[in-house]
Amino acid sequence: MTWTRIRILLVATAILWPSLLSCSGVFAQQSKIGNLTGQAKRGKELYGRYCVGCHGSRGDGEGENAAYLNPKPRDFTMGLFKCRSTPSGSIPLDSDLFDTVGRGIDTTGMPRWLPLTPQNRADLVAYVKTFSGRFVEEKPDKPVDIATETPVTPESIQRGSEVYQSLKCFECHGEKGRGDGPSASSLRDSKENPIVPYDFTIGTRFKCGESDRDLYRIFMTGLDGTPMPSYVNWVTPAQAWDLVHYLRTLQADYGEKSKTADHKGLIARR
Amino acid sequence: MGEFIKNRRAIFGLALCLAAVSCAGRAAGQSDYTAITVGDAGTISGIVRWAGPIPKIPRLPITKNAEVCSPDGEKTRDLERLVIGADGGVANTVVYLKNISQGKAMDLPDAVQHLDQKSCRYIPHILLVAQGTDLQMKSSDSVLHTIHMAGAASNNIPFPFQNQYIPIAMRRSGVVDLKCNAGHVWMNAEVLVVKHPYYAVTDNHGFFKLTDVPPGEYEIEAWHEGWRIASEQKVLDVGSQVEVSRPVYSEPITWAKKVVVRKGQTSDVQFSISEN
Ligand code: HEC
Ligand code: HEC
Repeated sequence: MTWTRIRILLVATAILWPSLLSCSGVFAQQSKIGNLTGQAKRGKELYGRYCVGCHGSRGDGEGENAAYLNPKPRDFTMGLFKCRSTPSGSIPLDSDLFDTVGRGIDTTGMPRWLPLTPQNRADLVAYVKTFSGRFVEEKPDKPVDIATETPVTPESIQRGSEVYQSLKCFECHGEKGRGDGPSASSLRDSKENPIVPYDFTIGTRFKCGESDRDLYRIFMTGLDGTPMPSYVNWVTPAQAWDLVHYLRTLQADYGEKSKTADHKGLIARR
Repeated sequence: MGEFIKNRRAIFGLALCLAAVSCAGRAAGQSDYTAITVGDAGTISGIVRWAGPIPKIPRLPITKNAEVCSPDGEKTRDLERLVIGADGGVANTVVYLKNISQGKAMDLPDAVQHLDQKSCRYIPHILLVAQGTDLQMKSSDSVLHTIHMAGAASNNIPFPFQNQYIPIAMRRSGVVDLKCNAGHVWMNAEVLVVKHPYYAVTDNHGFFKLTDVPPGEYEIEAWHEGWRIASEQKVLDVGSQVEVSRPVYSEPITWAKKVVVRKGQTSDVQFSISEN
């Protein structure tokens, strides 16, 4: 009798196995960042210690601290990520997730995990990927090219302001980049939570980096899961750099302000 | 032995349940489809009709860019979530064969793979795109639109300029909801990314037709997007000082039937769909 039971179980497992493999993504167990290989098994332990309070044990963003946070901790089961080098609609590269974990997300509850070693972060990335089947079913698209920066000149800034107008960034970000455009109030993220466009004049770090190249990448790839769209189809590399140069002028005393701005931004957004 | 069979059923059932759960969220669909030369084929046609009292179909106020969005001066916009003709036919229903493994090559009409944004409306309202091919999107409007996809695709594409097609490859099969984040909260459309060509969208009389179907017995299904507004979030539009609400729609509904297809013949299938 027990033997038949075992046999039944074996057969059942054999049936179950492929579906688990193909659907749940439990077996996307690794991450690769340069020479580092992250293992989900190790990542799981770290996740239980550092991430579970916000992102939840199921990775659905329903950790015990979620109620106190705005924006909400990311629901990893949706497989949507803001900070990507890949085009809109594509999963991110492992290195994108790795960079995000190290960089944190300024103006939100997502801390910078610099105290963790690179190996730790690679392991965490491998584990975070297991929550969404997208990492099993899909391959990331080729990253968006970032052309060499053109010189910052008054002409470039002027052209950039025309690009800002013609691409209608002001619809959401406002004429002066204050995040108060005519469409700003109707915006929702992919979980139907209200979301505000970035206010350039506060001068906080962007969620997805702070360099000029980061800024270029942000509007070219868009922030998936949010209303911030991807402009890669609409501008030439030269126009994109003009736009970067112009956006920097909106961040009034960018550089000086940024020392205290992180703090201010936090207050402004709560 | 009897117990063995019972157990086996139970465990197999469990296995299937788990498989279903682990796949939930993936598109309803199928894994394999092979295009073959279809010789002695048949046709399926029929009508999707509404049964029962016609529900109140919600409209939203046109709160933004009225000069572009409302060339005829209408103050509100039909959400097009449920379009019932005078003859009771239900438009915009997708009728398709389930679990067909081989048949004709992809031949979805061009018109259902091209999306236009015109007078702040998505045209057509229901799109069908073969998995792995491009959805072509453009805007005829001079105001900003953005197409924000959710579901089987997550691309978010702005349309700052008119009349330029942007192709986006639809990689996953399933349903993709479209919405506009440029303040046109009434704009909505659905894209079905499909694995085989036996899909049709009903016309204004509820009529559909599937051609070149290899003879055999099939399960045929009618799919209709949810037409009820499940929830609404009210917000104040700073520009117009009008309260706008972004509707969240109820889940889509399906109705299944069996159909036998014989060579050279047309099989008739009638669907009657209703509020419950
Ligand atoms: C104090 C709460 C908190 C903790 C702890 C936390 N996070 Fe987050 N995390 C957030 C919030 C909030 C967001 C969403 C921010 C947003 O959407 O702007 C987020 C977003 C993310 C994202 C998505 C980034 C993107 O590109 O969209 C990743 C990946 C992530 N967290 C990984 C981790 C990992 C790994 C840990 C543990 C080492 C962790 N988080 C711990 C709050 C937290
Ligand atoms: C449909 C509305 C909309 C339009 C149009 C739009 N944005 Fe955004 N943008 C947003 C929202 C919403 C956010 C905030 C996303 C978040 O906090 O996760 C954002 C964020 C940003 C950020 C900050 C990203 C970060 O990492 O913190 C930058 C930079 C940006 N937008 C640039 C632009 C530029 C440049 C344009 C025009 C080419 C533009 N946006 C057009 C809605 C929009």
